[in-house]
Amino acid sequence: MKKQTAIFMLTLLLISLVSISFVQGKVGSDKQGTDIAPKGIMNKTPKLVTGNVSEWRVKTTQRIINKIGSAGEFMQGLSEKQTNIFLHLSRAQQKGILSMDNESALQAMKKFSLKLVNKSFMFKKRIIAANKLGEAKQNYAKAGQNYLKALNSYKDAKANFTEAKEKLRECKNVDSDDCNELRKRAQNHSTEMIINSANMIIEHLNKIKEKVDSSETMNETRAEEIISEIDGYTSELENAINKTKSAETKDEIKEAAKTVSKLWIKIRNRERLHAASVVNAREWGIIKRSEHLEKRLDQTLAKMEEHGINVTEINEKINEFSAKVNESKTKYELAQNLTDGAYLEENKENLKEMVDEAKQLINESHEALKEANRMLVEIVKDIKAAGGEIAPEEETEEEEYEVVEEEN
Amino acid sequence: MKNKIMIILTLTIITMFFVAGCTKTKIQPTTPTQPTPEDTGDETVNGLSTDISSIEIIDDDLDTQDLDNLSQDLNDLDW
Repeated sequence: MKKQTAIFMLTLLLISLVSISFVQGKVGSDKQGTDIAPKGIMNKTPKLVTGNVSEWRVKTTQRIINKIGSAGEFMQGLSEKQTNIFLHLSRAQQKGILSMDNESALQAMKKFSLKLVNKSFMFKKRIIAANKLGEAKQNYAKAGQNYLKALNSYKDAKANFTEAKEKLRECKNVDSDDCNELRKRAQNHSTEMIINSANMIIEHLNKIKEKVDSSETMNETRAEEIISEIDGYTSELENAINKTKSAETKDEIKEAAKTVSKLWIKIRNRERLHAASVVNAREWGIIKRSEHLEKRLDQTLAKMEEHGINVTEINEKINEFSAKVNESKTKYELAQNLTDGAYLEENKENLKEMVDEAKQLINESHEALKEANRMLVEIVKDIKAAGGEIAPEEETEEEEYEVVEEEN
Repeated sequence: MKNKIMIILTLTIITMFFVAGCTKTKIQPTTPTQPTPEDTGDETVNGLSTDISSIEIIDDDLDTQDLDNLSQDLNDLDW
């Protein structure tokens, strides 16, 4: 019995020793996250700690630098101003620079500068009055209804026209009342088709116009250009409708149909370009907000570390989130360059190709953004599960520093 | 004999507690194919999810597939 008790006690001791060493190992790894490593920027550039840079920015950068061996040399080569800029870059941007050789990285840093931005304009390119936004929303819905109405009428007219045309096959060289009635019906239905097709285009353009008019993420100049162009097209289409209404002969109707057809060919890729611009402008707003949110997550992590919470896994997820947002931003910028170029393009074929490519990039940017958002939702859940809380939006200051990248 | 059984049982229970206690609890990832934005409890995050979904709606709504054959129809208008 004594022997058995001794074995039992020894086993218990062994088990507790294993668990103690396991727990100690965990605590040790937690501590590493908050310690300032010897190659850390706090040691290399002590000016940061006394400067106006928030400590959470230093901590975030520290985590990234710790993983890259050559980072210390790079940080030493930065001026105080550049170090400040570097600290304001997103994680993905920091990683991108640190993956370069020292000389290229220092060169890349020259493209960036810090700009003080009014918070109202952080995610917007212009401010639109609330009543104007409401009005645009109503007009958009109305244009959508009118478009559907015109589409249905067009389809009906087309079906009726096709039916009349079929019956007219038997009226070749026949001058009967029935055949004349059929000819009249075909003429009326074709007129309806032309008028409704023009109305469909007008209402579709109205939808784009209302979206442009209410887009706070599109710059004023581009918005004005698009609206003015759409107004011009609308006026041409209304003239075509009037011409169709006054057409009396078959030839006049056919001529009116050709006019609307030509107009649509002219408008087609321009309206696709405008619609792509509306969507890309929205993507811009979401990318900016996601980048800003990354900073709030960094603040959150710094707070959690202060409370002794292990943030290693969440930190990795934020790195992935930052990389996805950066991927989306890169695609957005490529799409933006393409659309900017497309606005100056006069060749129809080239314009079509540019719009197709831009739309593809916008889709890719959007997919990356969706993926980033899925990661974000997961990060928020993880933070809450670990006992953390997302750092609230700072509402005290009206202005905030933002990194500006000089265009090539 | 009775004591032996007791010891074995106690040891088994302790080992089970130990294993269960040290197993890392994994947070289940969000289903990637979630169609509707999830409520995270954070206004900004929720707003982002909603706006991302709304982009797709606008993109679809401004699509002009209905008008693809318009020019063809009008050019062929003859009877």
